[in-house]
Amino acid sequence: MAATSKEAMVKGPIINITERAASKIKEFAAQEKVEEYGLRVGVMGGGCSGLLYKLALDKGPRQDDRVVEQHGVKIFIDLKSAIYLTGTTLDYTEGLNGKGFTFQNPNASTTCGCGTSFSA
Amino acid sequence: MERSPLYEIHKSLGATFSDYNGLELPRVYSSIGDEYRAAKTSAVAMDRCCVGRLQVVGKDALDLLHRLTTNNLNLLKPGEGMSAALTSAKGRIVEHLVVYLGKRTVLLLTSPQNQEKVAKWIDHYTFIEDVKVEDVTDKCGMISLYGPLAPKVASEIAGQDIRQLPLHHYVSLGSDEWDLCFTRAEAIGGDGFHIIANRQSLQELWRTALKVGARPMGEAAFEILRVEYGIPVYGKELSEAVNPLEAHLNDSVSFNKGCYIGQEVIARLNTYKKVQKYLVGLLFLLLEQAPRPGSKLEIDGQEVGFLTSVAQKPGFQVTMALGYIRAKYASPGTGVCAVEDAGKIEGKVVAPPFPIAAEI
Repeated sequence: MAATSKEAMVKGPIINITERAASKIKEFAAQEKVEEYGLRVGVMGGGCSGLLYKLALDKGPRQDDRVVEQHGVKIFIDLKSAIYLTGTTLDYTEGLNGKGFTFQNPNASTTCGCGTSFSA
Repeated sequence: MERSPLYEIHKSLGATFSDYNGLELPRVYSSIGDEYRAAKTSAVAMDRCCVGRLQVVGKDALDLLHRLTTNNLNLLKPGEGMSAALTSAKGRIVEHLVVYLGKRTVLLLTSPQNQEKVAKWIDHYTFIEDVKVEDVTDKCGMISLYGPLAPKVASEIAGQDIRQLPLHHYVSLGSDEWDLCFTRAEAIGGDGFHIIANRQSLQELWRTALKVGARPMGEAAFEILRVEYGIPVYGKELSEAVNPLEAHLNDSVSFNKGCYIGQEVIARLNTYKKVQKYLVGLLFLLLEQAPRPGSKLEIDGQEVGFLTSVAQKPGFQVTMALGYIRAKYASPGTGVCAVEDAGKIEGKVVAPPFPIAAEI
């Protein structure tokens, strides 16, 4: 796990991550053979509805990142993305419709048909 | 009111000026009819410094713009450009752009006075990307050449043969990327070229354009030609109430590039043929009162559309117009009425560019 300063930690979680999602992230990190990492969760412009979710393993937080730690996984969120992600739950699901990470985002007013983008 | 860097030259050429969206631009130099005919038969030069210009820098610039616009910008190579629309999640037009890819940066042409809105739109969707938008409208300027001889005039000014340059492709002849560029533009009056250049060299370029045969043309003649050639502009034909398919901007839309903002709506409209209204050309009998932009269009007493732009074609007893009409009435030849205070004016749907020998 990457070392993070106490100053970068926030009191309340911007996003929540389920145990299942945390477990899957650790699995990916092990596959990638990375020892020091966190999960970068962000938003980027694009997709049918205007905003896309972005997930990636990152070595450490950048300046002004918000940092959350749950179930042994550190999550880095840039300041602007945090505006659109506050209150979001990140889960990992497997079912008839496929498997992957899902976002329950209370800020999303609409979601596109394929579910990959949202508007807020 | 803002003035062009070419203002004093226009004044010395006898131009009369008008306010166009807060910019003082030449309305006419000598005769609207003569300027119109020059654009149809030879070449005209026009001050288009009012067109917004944004330079987008950063390693993620093209990727971000590709995600935000309707066209496949990933196909661009340095020296090339393409038109593309910024659309909302509802598929409505936020702006219609021309995007030029340089070796280091991207240049965007926006509608006059719309560059700030576009810069804010891009900034809104910039998160952790390496992208910076700079408004360079005042740092550089733009001269447009229109008419069948525009390629010849552009070649003479450039000092090299650029007559075969494809649409929106450009040649850069300056020391810096956008210091002096010649690009093929949408054809008006027969053909079109833009010269994008730094502010200091504009006066010399303008003088050279006139020296090699271009006649200066003002906004009044340009507006007639714009309507005649069916070129939509933001604020009249284009707005956030309209989608690109309604405005016939299909050349600015890629139907196989994948997701961009508004793609789902636009793809659905295209696939299921659900476009509700179309931009069309219209011809009306020239009566005492001409139809006005904003007037309703009727068929058999039923409202079917509205006008967006109106122009008198010099030398012809007809009024040309652009407007939106319900899809089922958009076929050329359909009879319509423009509803005015003084009564109804008969007209018909035509496909721009309007025929020379226009008859109702």
